[in-house]
Amino acid sequence: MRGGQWAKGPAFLGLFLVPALLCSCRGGHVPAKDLVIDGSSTAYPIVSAVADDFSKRNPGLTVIVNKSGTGSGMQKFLRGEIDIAAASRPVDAREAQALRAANLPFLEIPFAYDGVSVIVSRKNTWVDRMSLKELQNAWKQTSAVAKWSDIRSGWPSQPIDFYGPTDNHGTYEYFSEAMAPGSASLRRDVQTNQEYNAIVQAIADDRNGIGYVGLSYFAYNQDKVRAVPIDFGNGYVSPTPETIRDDRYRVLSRPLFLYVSKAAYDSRPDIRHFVEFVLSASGEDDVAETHYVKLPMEALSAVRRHVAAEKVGSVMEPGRALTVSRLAQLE
Amino acid sequence: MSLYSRRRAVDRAFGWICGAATLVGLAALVSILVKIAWDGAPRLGPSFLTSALSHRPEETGVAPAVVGSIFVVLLTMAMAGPVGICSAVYMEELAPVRSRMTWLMRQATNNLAGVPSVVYGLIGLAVFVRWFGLGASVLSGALTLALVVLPMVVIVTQQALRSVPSSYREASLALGATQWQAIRTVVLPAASQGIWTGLLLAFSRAMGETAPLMVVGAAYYVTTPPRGFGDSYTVLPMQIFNWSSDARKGFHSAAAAATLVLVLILLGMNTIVLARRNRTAKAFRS
Amino acid sequence: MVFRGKVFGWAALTCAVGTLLATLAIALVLFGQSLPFFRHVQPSAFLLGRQWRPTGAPPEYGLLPLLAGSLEITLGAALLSFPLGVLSAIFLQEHAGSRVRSVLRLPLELLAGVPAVVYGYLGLFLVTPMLRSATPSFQASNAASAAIVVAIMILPLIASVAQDAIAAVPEGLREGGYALGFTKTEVILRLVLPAARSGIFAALVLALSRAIGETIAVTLAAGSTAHLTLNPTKSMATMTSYILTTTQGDAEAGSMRYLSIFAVGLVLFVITFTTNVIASRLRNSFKARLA
Repeated sequence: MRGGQWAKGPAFLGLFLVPALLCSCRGGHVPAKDLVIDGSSTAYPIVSAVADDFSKRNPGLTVIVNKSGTGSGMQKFLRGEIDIAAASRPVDAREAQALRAANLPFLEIPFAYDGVSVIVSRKNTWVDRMSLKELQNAWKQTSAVAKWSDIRSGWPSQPIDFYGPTDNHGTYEYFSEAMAPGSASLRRDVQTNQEYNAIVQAIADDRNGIGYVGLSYFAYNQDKVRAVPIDFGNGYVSPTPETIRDDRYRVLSRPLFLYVSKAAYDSRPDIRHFVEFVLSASGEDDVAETHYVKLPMEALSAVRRHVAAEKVGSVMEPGRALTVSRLAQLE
Repeated sequence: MSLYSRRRAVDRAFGWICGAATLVGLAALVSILVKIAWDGAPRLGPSFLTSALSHRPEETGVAPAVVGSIFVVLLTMAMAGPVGICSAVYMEELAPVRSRMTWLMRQATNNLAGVPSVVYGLIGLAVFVRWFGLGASVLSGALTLALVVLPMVVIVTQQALRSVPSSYREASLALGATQWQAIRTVVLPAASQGIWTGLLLAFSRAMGETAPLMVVGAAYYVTTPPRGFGDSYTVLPMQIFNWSSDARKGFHSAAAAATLVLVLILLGMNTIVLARRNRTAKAFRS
Repeated sequence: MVFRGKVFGWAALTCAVGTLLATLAIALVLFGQSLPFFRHVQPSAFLLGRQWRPTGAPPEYGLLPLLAGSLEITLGAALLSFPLGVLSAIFLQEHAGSRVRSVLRLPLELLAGVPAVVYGYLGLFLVTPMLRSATPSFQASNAASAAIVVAIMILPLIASVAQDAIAAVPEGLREGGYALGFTKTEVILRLVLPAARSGIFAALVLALSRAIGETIAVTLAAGSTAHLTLNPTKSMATMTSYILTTTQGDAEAGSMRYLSIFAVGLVLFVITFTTNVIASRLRNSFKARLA
């Protein structure tokens, strides 16, 4: 008969007490020193890359990056659960209102450009290019388009499968504003997904599928999907770093942002250093490495000055015309 | 062909079919292991185990996830182990045999064992993360996992206690021991092998659980392993999930290598379990 | 000593009562959290609705697409796994000697220890490529690959519960059969299996309950596109994958989306609770009949 393990009664009871002790010593709730970032999953590839390089230079500091979507990230930022909110659109009026009500002055830091890419499967043989009008007619809520032939005669008489991110994503809000200016609501039968990789995969397999994702998710998957060149009125334009930077990819180009609270920026050197790191040459390299678009030099230095002066509030707030050219307003 | 030889042929064929069906399990296991080793082994090196997570698939390691997994699971077991064993001892040794309460407790345990782990994740989200305000911390993750594995600990411990011959109890009571002394000095030691088996099984179950931890907010990307119970964390299975769903092929081999790490840990634990059980079986036979 | 015994007795009672209360608490939390949901969505519209579009404007919460996904994968898995599991159980119990039995049980037991996320990986990178090389119409995430990996996951459960049931059939029954000149196969098919049938059925019900709750493997292998179809080549959302993917993003506390995961969780809980009760009834009636 083995089993001396249990012979010590008090030790056994002690084991029972362990969880009770563990639970009770939590009482003081030590403020977390970790740098917690959440929000846009469009920006996630860049932000996790920057966090990766940043933490290599600052060993001992913990950086946590999640990707619950711009809207969810903003909610968490508002509740004080996270230090930095990553966003693929500027704060909206409702959020700005709530931030004011919570007395939470914030810094807005544009750090990269993205082009919302409209993608179809490599198996799709007919879609060569589309005009903004055609896209809007297909995607808006009141759309009567059901088959490819409804968009352009000559295209197959096959039902279209629409794919896109769920509505907690900035990309959703941004794209719906571009497709239905003013009402910002898309057709109801879009198959939505939280994960961009899942959206890309679904479209890759579906020759009748069309959908929209951030540039990075298209760029990493060029073997499976194509980006549709779009005519915004001045000829057909594909999403590339060049067309996005010089604003030729018009209403589907947009800046990506970080939001930090002014109080935290002043009191937490780690947050300040992280923001500086994002705007450094190394941070911009991560932007390019993850297939997003670096800010042009002038814009970058404008943002740096903007941040150094700790200007609070959003320059993007008043309108919802969110094109790259708006960045010029920083000056 | 005579009726007799036809019946013999059917008999033999059926035996072969049953044997072949049994081999499917073996074939599945072998193909799983071969596939994972094939995909993962080239990526698995010492630096993979010691490096931090990275956005570059060729640079990424699993260190924070492995430490996070071990941290969370040890805390889980520190909670579920004692509570589970005590419940089992109560139900098997102390509770009145024919009471309605005891019957209810047994039913409850059996039903808890059948609740999908993602539902425990929802409970953890509503109760530990939101209501208790623990947030996405090691503690809330471990509390949730403790709920997941608790029924398993209780049930295996009950079986272990039931396998202790009642003559052991009667003999120690006859020698003048109190019930508590009998349990502590005779029954628990006699059942200890089975109880340890249960704890190891629960440990490996907790180690492989993904869904409940994702629901209560394990992080996608974290640069360092957790250092305290209030810290954010990630676990090995969650990184496997995240990397498997990434578009970049480099992450698929990282996922396979992480899977290999997880499977090696779990196979190690299961081998201990099986070896221990065979030893227990022998001890009882002799 | 007496005091210590008392303390332990109370501690043990507390733990045991805690287990009892936990079941109650689970039901209460799920019910309480989904109550506000059902204030906005009629339970009948929820259970019988054919559209699951939580992000639509207005959103639609019709469970049928998710239920169809869950049921298709679960039943598909059971269809593959049940015959294999029962035949394995027969072989292990009736044909194999004790040495062979302990060797052949090992792979099944190790399979049971493989975590779900690994099955998800295999669904994506082993099963789906095989399916696609046979029929290119399979999507990268598809219900069939999920059903196949879940089938492997539940195989050990079916085999072991069915083997217990077969082992519990009294030896006398078999001997009676042989005395009548039955072959081994005839004894098994005509006497043993009918006698063990409720135990074997319990194995099936337990496996169904386990399969319908499987989350991570199903999410990886089948994806999360909610649509009302039974086409196994397509990506398909289940109740579990909806809960998982929703909590990864848009579970803003108090929102309809947040509440909806508890409503779906409640349905899942009710289904697994019911199947578990059925399984334990079956096993009890089986034991009672043999006694």
